Amino acid sequence: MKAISDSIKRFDFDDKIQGKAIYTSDYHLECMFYAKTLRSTVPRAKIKNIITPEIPQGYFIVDHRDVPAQNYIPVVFDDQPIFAVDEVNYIGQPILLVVGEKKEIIQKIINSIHIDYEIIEPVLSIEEAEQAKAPYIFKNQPYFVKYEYSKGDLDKCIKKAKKVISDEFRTGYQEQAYLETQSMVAKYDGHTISVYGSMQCPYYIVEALKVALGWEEDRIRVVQMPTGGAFGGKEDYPSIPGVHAALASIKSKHPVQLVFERQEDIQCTTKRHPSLITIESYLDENGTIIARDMYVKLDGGAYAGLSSVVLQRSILSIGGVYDIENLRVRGTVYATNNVVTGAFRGFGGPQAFFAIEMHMENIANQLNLDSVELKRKYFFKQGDLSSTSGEFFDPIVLNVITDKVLKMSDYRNKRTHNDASKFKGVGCSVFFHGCGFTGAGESDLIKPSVRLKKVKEEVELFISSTEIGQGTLTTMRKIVAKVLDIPVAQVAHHYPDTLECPDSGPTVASRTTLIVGRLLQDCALKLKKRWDEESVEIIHHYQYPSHLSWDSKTFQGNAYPDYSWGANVVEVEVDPDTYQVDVKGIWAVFDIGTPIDRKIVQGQIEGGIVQGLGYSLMEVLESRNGKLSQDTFTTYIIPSSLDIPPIMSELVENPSTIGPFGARGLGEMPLVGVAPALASAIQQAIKCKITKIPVIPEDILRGIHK
Amino acid sequence: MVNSFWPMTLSEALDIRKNHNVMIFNGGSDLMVKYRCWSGISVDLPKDILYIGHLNELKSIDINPSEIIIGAAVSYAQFLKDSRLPIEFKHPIEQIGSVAIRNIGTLVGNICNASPAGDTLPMLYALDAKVVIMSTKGQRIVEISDFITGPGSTQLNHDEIVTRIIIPRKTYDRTFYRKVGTRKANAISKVSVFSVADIKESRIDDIRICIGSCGPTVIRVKKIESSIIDLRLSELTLDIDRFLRMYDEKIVPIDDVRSTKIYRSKVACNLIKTFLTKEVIL
Ligand SMILES: Cc1cc2nc3c(=O)[nH]c(=O)nc-3n(C[C@H](O)[C@H](O)[C@H](O)COP(=O)(O)OP(=O)(O)OC[C@H]3O[C@@H](n4cnc5c(N)ncnc54)[C@H](O)[C@@H]3O)c2cc1C
Repeated sequence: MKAISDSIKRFDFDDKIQGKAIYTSDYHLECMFYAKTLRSTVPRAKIKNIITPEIPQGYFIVDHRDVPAQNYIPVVFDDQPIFAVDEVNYIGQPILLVVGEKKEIIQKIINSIHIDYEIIEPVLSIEEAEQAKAPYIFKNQPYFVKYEYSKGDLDKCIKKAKKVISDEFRTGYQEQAYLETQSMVAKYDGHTISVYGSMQCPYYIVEALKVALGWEEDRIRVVQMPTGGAFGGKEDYPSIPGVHAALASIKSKHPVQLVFERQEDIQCTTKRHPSLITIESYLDENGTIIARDMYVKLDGGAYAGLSSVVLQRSILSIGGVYDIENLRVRGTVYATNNVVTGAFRGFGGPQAFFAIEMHMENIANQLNLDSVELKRKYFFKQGDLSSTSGEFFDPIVLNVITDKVLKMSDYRNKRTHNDASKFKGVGCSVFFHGCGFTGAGESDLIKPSVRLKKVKEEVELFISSTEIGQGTLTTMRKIVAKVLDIPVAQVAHHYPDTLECPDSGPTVASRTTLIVGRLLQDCALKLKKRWDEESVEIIHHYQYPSHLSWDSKTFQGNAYPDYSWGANVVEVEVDPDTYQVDVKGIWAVFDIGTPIDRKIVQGQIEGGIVQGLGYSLMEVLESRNGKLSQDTFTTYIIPSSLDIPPIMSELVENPSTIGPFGARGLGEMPLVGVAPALASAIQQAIKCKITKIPVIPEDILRGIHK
Repeated sequence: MVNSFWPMTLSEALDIRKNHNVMIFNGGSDLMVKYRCWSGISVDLPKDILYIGHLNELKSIDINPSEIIIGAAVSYAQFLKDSRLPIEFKHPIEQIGSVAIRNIGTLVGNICNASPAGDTLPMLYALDAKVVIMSTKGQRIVEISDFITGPGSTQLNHDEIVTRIIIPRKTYDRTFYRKVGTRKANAISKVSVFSVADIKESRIDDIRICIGSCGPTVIRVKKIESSIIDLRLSELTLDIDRFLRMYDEKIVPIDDVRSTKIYRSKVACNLIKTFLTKEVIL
């Protein structure tokens, strides 16, 4: 490794490519039992009675009565039970487990359990939640949280304004579609419970086990297994199967494997939040945007989960990359009897950027201006105040990014020499992603630590950050090796095991390289000073940068510790017979500071763009009476390799002052900007307004023939 | 638990079919999905199984001067690889499933499954294919349009096996195929159109238009076809809208998870129009 950005062979490469990696469902312990979950089949009801058949010897039912301490999953609010007690609030909610040696018998027992429900009128959409009356799903209100913040003076501008431009946008559910479904194996040895599984955040499961069992942390061990994709779907959700498998193992006194089936996984795990977003822009007599009023409404499903944090990111992103002096931003996440929504790559950002970028496009159309030039007028630059009045301390190079993406894609030429008879179009989006936890969350909530151990010439690094395909097992070693100036092979790093690894925080929010990587860099610097010692161990803790500040009550200050920036261009051709969209190419330019490994970065970019393409073009997922209609890979349509267009990406290197070697966060951002660029391209091709994603051929037909 | 039968010959298979209540398992690409269950336990089949996909007698493609005869166990991949077959007949096949599915799936399995979205069907209807059915008592041959009686249902009896498909050998001046799926591979059709035409001295000598996924079975309207046949191309040009309206009346699709009826009928008509204006009339 010469420079930190030079690619090296990934440390998880051989195992995964050669099929040697042991995933959780491959992990067979001696005398292992299986568990299967019995789930609610109705969106909202009181459970009147559960009629179980006679259970054969060696088989067990595990339900809320088997939770020794507290029956809830700790996330932000403690509203979600581990097992339903006397009511259910969504289809797929776990009621009990059947556990035993033979799957056939478990299935038979499950099939013969009968549940008597007393149906309660369910709340099934944002609109229904807005009208909902008691009894409420959550506390005494129809929503989980409601936020509002502002900048400048909106009311004054409304009076002054000469023109108002308003839009309403809708976005749908999205399923993470990780290759490996939710999977856990738990083993109780009479004293300690060990949970092995597919996950992003081992310490979330530790926390959930502490709540459920009431045990001290020294009796709890959580180990990440090689994980087949996560995308946010394994952030908070695995606490449920993790605790379930543990309870089953403790009761049956056997190791227990709990692996979800695909249909079960799609039906009952967390999804991306559907949204309904309105934006009003106020313009003066010169056509300058002087103020904006924006409202983000999300469907949170039946339990709060991470919805409040997702809503925060949504309302902190909705202003886009634009410096508008007067703003009011509101957001509400409603409680419904739909599937629980949660974390998904982008985390509230994709909805917001779709809305704000399409809105800018529409303003440009109304003013007869080029949309990219209109956007450029308002681009944030170094020293500006963000929508929450936090200063941008680092250089912002949006003009460089945009120029580059326009040039690469020949945007200007394609945009202006557009043959209207051909149904062709090209669109551009500009966006950011706030890296790390909201505000001062890194220091107030997470308090991450890392550990380095040196024995003779060998170094081992210990963090709880997981390898979920994004390269953690490679990039973290590179950072440590580079600081210590030793070969990367001399640094060991294994899948996290909470017995050994301090809590470096969850593997979310594009924070691992930025925050954990920087901690390791600083920790390695300390180690370097003591390199002469035979064996050393150093634990290093996070400190919030002193130039940043955040008030979580008023939403004022630096909303994120750092930002990554990007722009996309998408070119499309719409088939005049079938209204299918053929994506000709996607161009992407990002400022992620210094890339820690170019090949891994390229992988994240292309994967994120493909996931964004699915989100905006084909991944239709709808709830009908509380049940998701597309719950198999036959009906839930993700892009196949033939659907992936050529993707051309480049980086603009503008080193961060926060991250290790100048790196910023990357994991989520490539997904965020695809939808608006694609929808703008389609809008140009078919000459009618796109207000909803995914944009499917059926909608294009409807639009054209309106 | 169910029993599985692995016959060594077709006649053994026919005996088993006669004496046991069995389900025929060819490539299995429909059956394994239909009866899938919790992974790790064996497939939840409702009946005993008769495997036929391995029988050599059913694995050949025979071509004589008047017919193309395709054995029941011929996979899509084998069909695509056969250089004697016309390329036009391969277009629908090369868009089915993905490489893996084309390696195990069979044309006869697709017919017997009788899904309204079966992608071999519009072509086989257009080509007037016949289905050869055998039992221990002998063999009968029926038109594909008679063989399939509705979504998922055929006129196959309990003791019978489909052994081959016969496609009358004929060349066509124009062929057209469009599959409209939810994505570019591994997609179930929302609409598909397969059509052929023959033109002799600026007159339409033969035309067949078949529409898939827009009704309980493939739509082929012989009445409209016969009113187009014998027209001069110039006459067809003038009358195109009338014919399209006639098709529009006959195409009555449904709304489902994959698409809407409005979309299906509009797209089917667009594709027929494109076939007529861009392929037939030129
Ligand atoms: C991922 C995937 C993608 C797919 N994509 C497509 C697609 O694009 N287009 C499409 O049309 N289909 C598609 N299919 C469906 C399927 O592959 C086809 O219908 C295939 O042709 C079925 O053939 P088979 O031999 O595998 O059938 P089987 O599963 O073996 O049988 C299907 C049915 O036919 C009966 N049967 C089979 N052979 C005989 C016989 N000789 N006599 C009497 N009855 C018989 C069986 O009993 C069963 O009811 C797809 C399936 C999968 C899993």
